[in-house]
Amino acid sequence: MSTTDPARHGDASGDRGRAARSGRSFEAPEIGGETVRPPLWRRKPLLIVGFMILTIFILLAVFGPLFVTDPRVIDTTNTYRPPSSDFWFGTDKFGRDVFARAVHAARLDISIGIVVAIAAMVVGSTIGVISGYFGGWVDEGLMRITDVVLAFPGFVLALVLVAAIGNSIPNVVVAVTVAYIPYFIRLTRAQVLAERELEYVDGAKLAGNGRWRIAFRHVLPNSMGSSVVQAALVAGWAILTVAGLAFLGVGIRPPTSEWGVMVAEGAPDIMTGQWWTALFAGGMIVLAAMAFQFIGDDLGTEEV
Amino acid sequence: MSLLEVSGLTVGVEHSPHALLRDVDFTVEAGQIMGLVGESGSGKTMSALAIMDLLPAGIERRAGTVRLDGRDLVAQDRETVDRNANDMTMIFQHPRSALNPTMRVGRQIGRALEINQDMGRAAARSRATEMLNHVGIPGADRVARAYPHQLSGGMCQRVMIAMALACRPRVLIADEPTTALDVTIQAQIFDLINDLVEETGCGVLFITHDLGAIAEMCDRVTVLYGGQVMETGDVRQVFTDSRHPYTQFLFDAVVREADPSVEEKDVNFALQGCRFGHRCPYAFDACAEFPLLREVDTGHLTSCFLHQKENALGSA
Repeated sequence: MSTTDPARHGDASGDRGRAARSGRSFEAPEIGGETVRPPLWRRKPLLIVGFMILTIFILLAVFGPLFVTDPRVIDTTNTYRPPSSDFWFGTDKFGRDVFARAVHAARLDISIGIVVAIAAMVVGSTIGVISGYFGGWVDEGLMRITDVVLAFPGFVLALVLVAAIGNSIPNVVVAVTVAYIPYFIRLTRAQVLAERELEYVDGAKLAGNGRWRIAFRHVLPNSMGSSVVQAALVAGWAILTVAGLAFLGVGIRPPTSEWGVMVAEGAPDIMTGQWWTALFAGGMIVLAAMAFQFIGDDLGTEEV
Repeated sequence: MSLLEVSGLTVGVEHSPHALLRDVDFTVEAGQIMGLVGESGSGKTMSALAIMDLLPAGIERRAGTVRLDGRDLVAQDRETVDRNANDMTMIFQHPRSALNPTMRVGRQIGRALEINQDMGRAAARSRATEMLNHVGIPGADRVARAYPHQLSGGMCQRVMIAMALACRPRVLIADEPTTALDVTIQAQIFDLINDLVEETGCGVLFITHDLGAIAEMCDRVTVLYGGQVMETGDVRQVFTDSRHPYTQFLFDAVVREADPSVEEKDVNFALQGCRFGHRCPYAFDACAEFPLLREVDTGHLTSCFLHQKENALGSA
């Protein structure tokens, strides 16, 4: 029989080792043994770059606030200081440390991005698997509602929802999540429709598993691949959406330290030469969104 | 009384008058292997799916009974079949795709035991490992913790068989269990099935298109064409004394060149009479009617009007 050791499956050196032990002299496995897969950073450089940027942001978000001054402290003697060794990113018109604000904002924005992505994925996939697996009028109903929600651009929908339910941080998270749920519903449903016809689903039925169990324990895990990729992308989009809402003044409000808020507050300063108040926050938005895009893009590419 | 008795099984496409299976009858006895043979599209797998209540969407069961030890399994509404893994299970053609890729194989076997045998999780797990050992998997402990993609095709088929047999079913349906495997593994799987029949006395419905496998494995055989039973009987009877023209041509095609008088045509599912009628060189007026199975010898039945005319084909 063939390989039985999962850990060594596909491992060329293991194959050679077995051949040697069983006393065979031919060296046939050599041909296959020479083709070594290039390392991950060579196959998926963007994935590594994305993860590196994201790791820095997460470290910044988790530990950064412990080391910086309180971003809410107003110091009128130190307004509009350009970046220096004392104030790495300078200070704004109230004398607040822009670096301290940006670090605190990282904690908020990165958390929102990840929370939105996971919440939208969990809710969207659950609805998607119910819709796809059970079909019938349940599917019809859910899909029409999804179509209605999808008819609005995500940003506009989030904007309308925030305007309707108020702009506290939890409300912003809920609104942005709702805007991204339909993408996960559609994606999961399409996967489930293909997956439910496969033989292992019949096998699970034969073993006596109930409908719900088959839907959630057998079909769903096998339909999650593209949703996970989508979640990485959505995390990036969510950061952009939250920052965009704040910039327009309908999302998270000042004086909260949030990148979109900082860009909105700093925008007028650019005219008068104080570029640093908006630029660093804007740069962080770009970097964070980019990191998630890189990860999502490279995760979505099939291995050759 | 037979262990599994299928009679009058008729399956068709929804909203269409055409039937994919017409009046299919066969029986499986305890401790015996019944072969179900026929070309592609003859309805072998469809019969199995209809019995197991796994018909794909858009295909409906229109008539027929499935009896296990005389108990009618088909519900009144014809929608469902009342069976569980203790009664009947099935081995699929493609072992790898019949296992859930995201679940460890030991767990998949264990689940069947938890549901059908009221076992606890730990007991089910150790029994699953025992079953893997039983079907000849070396290092069953490790394999139980593996995912299907880490196992070879033959190994996956053994896992499938272990899963099917975990609950000691009365009837096992093996749908081309070795088609996806090479011949050496095929022999091992055949031995395994034979051993199990001897050991547990279960009945097996063995589906294949390989006449050699039928001769090697089966006690009885049913020949299917276009969803119609052509002939059924002991393997010896059907192989050496085939009575239906289709069966005769089928064996001819295997042992020597096919008879050119039998034109190659698609199965005509719209046909009212015998499904083989539009290809059969012996067809006559009566063949426009649907032929019922008639006994031509003890336990040897065929659905051909030639025999009702007392006109045995003899050496056709």
